[in-house]
This record gives sequence, C-alpha cells and structure tokens, in this order.
Amino acid sequence: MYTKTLLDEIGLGGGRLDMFYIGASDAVLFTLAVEIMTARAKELGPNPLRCNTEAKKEGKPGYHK
Amino acid sequence: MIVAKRKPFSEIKESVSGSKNILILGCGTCVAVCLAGGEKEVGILASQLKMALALEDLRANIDELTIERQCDREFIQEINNKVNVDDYDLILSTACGAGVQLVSDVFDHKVVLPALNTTFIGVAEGPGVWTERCRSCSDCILAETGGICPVTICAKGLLNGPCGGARHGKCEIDPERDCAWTLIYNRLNKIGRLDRMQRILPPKKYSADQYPARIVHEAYRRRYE
Repeated sequence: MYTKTLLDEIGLGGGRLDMFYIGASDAVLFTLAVEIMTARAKELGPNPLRCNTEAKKEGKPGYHK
Repeated sequence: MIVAKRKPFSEIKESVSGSKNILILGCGTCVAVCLAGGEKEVGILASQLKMALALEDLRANIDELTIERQCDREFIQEINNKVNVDDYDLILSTACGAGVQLVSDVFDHKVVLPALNTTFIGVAEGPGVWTERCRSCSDCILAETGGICPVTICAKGLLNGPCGGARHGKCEIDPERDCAWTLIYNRLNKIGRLDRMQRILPPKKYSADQYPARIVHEAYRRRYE
C-alpha cells in the first residue's frame, strides 16, 4: 500500500496503517482486524508524532500511556 | 508528456533542512498526469515534510500552491497574485527540470529546488504505468518505421534492424523486452507498408540534435531576430 511507504519514508512506520477487505456482514473478520491492529499498536508503542507535538505541548504523556 | 519521478524523501528533506518557510510549488500539467508533482502530490509531500519535521521536534511553515504550468512565464507570474514569494526561504518545485529552471529564472533572488527527477518523454500505458517513446532527437523517422521509434525502443538504437540478437521477438539485452524492429516489422506489415523494411535509413542528422535547443516560430521571427 502506497501510503504505508509514505509513512515509512518519514520514519513514522507504515505498520501503523493497514487496509482490510471485509464484507459488511462479516463481523468475525472485522473483530480479527481490530485485534491485529490493536496488537500491532501495542507492539509499536505510542505514536511518536503525537508524543512530540500535542502531548509535549500540553505537558501530557503520549495518548497510549 | 514529460514523465518524472519524485526524488527520495530523504534527499528532499535534506535539501530543505534549516528552512523555516517553504513554498511547495506544484505543476498542473505533465507531472500531475504522471502522479509526481501535481496538486495531490504537493499535498502529500507537504504532509510528509510536516510530519517528518515534527518527529524531530522541528517546525516549519510549509505552504502549497499548484499552478497550471511551470514551463510558461505567464503562469509563473500568477504566483505573485496568490502568494508573496519573499515570505519564503525557498521554493520547492515539483515540476520537471524545465519548470524548475524557469521558476528559478523568474524568481532569481530565491532558492528554487527540485523535488523530482525528470525521466523521459513518454505515454501512459495504463493506470500508473508510463513508458518512454521519444528521445526528442530533432530528426523524426517515425514515418519510415510504422510509428514505432527504434532510437528510443531498440536497446541499441538501431536505424536499420533487427540485429542478429533478436530471438522470438524479444531483445537480446533483456528477454522480457520486445525487439523494437520486430514490432516495426509487424506494424509495417499490418498497415501494408512492409516495403519500408527494404529501405536503408541513412545516418541520422545528429547535428540537428543540438543543445540547448531553441525554436522560434516563423510567425514570431521578426520579434526575436
């Protein structure tokens, strides 16, 4: 996926983004996709961009914390 | 059209480092069609730069503007109606090399940097695919070759082919690549002009391919000469 490449280029990590093809009635696949992305987000840690900007500006930790 | 490809992001980022006010200037013609430097690509590049700088805790004002063409002075002059270029440390142009140079000429007191590598004159083969078709040699022989340019498509640029290396319609340089002269033979056969294959094309007028080239239209000759 092209957008993942763009994120990789800037050092944000393309793994933070993904696309899943799921039928409107396929709740099982949707749940699986959510689990995959949640696990990946935990593995990758807080969004460094958000930590560096909003959270830092407001004196707050990254939103994952 | 002119086909270009964006420079690696790391190279662009390095070239604009230290600048606090950047204008990313898009071109709405060839490079917009080949998805390299039009309005959308300018937006993508601006977002990438903003995020990359933010990741390093740096900040810069990055504005976006896309004009119709950067290879035409009258379109470049329009920039002055939309922004004040003196507000920017540098202009990052997503035009072809010609556009970058003309913007640099018009705003000769500003730093103008290229964001693309200009690659070739070509055609769209399908969504997202472009191939080179013309080397702008100033001595076109397409009338003799069934509308297929051996100078561009033949790996050896042969004016009289095919060479002995063609196998089953493929090139000996790259078996995945069609032999230009097989394509020419098939095309001439299809349009009933196979007799052209018997003709020996003389050496090209390489003297016509001078650079930097300049053309003055007949109707404007008195104005410039």
